Amino acid sequence: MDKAGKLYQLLDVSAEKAPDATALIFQQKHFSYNQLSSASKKLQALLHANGIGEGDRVAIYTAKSIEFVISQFAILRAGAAYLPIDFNAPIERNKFIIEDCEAKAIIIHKKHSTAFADSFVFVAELEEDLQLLKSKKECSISPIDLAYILYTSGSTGRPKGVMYSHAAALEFINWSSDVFTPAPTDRFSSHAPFHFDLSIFDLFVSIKHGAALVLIDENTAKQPLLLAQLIAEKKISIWYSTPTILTMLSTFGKMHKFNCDSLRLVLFAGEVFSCNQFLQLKEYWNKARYFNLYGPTETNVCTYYEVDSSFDFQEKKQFPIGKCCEHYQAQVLNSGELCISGNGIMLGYWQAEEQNNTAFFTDKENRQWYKTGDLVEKNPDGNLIYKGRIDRMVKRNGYRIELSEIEAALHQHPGIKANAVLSFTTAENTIAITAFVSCISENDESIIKMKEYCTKHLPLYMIPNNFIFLKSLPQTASNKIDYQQLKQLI
Amino acid sequence: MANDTEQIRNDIKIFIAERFLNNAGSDLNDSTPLISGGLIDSISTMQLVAFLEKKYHFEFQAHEVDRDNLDSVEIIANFVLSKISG
Repeated sequence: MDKAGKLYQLLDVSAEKAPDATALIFQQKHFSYNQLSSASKKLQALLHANGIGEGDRVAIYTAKSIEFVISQFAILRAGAAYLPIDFNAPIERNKFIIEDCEAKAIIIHKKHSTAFADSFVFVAELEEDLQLLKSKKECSISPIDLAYILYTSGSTGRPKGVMYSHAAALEFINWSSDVFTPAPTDRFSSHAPFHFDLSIFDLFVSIKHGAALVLIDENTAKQPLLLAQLIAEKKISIWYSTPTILTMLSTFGKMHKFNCDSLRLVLFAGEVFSCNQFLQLKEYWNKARYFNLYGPTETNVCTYYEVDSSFDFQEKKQFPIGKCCEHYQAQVLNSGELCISGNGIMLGYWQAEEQNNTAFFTDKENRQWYKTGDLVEKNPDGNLIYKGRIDRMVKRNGYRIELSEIEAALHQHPGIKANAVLSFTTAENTIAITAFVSCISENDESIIKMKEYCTKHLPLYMIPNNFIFLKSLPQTASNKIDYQQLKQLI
Repeated sequence: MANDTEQIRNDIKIFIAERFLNNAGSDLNDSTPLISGGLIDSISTMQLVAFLEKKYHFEFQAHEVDRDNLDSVEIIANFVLSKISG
């Protein structure tokens, strides 16, 4: 396999080899490699004609669609970096992200564009716009230039942007090729939204191998019945999602009705998959190989473990996150924190010098290490076991959430005097988030009102499961909120 | 029929208050937005669907598990009625 230096070259190579092969499947529509390549070249020309090129950032603000993928490749081809926006997150948060990274343009649907009247907006009615334009020559960026920024929950109360270069993303993509050996006959799922790091595997590994990517719209993505039906109908062979979705599938997907024997690989990441839930899934999907992938957005996947018959299912222990990927080195500090070094790591956080200083350290051999914040233990067989976090970040349904970002949003509520947010593991082994709130008036003490407020200020996955109202929050001797005491109340 | 509707609405309210509102749902009314109001997430939605199927002995079709049929107590009750009387 040719090694490309820039992400859009993956598409060029595949489009040249098999122009008529299907690159994207979305609902009933099939889009070939040639169509994708040519549409992305035309949009690149449109971007160029509007002064957008090397070193710029361009936001993509549409639901998952063929247009989304065209936009990603067009922006990359222009030498700019793409910024995928969570289409369903509150507009206030999205505006912050777009302003924070100084996006030069937004690719957006007409019906949503009014919210960004002051910004430079492209309306994503691409097919019409693209007829007139001829493609431009290739940009001259280097593989170590910025390719995309993924925003993730920030401990400062604001989202932070994880910057990735073409070269670093390709480290992971090439590693995936070596381990999973995809073929042009494969059909990949695109379950995760494009602002989520799981999408890097889906999109670029499938395009690299000339396979077809089945785009799953956001409504279908959370409905197990529709998902099971889609996997069977579209004959998906490589599935990648969080364990939460797999559990929903095996619990509510009426899986006995659907033949999913096309699945040859099931990859999961983002949170712990309990052994019981895994076994329940495997009863239905018994032909696939299963891999537990681990890695924060900052490194992409950095350890992996194949769940096969060598695992002792009798003991119902937690699956290991496995061993370090071949393109990385790992070390565990005395504190138990896992650190990762290698060329696949992010460039850094967008304009966050302080956070960049604390996220990395350099060893005596001048190698740079990323501190994951995850605590691990090493089994005698060398496999790593995830043991939790060193800070207040939690993972729910695969999404990472800084509890302080929820606290910051509640702090803005005019009726709330003080608040503290805690997480705990439920009896069903899921993460639940509880907000302790002290209101000025009893009228505001309503879970319904609080959750409604949260829908306007936080993405849905960050809304606390429960609210507990207190006259005042307990404090420590040094006048800080006493989290230990609050924990007792859950 | 009026009693049936009322009974269904009550059953649904009790289930939602117990399961998703920590029994603190006194201000939950028939038109409170459940999914769009952030009260129930996708997993809770599936638990609600499983509850309705078991309680009222019918099956949701894949396309029916949708916000259009599930976003308030009133909408759910009407949907359930249409399924069990159809």
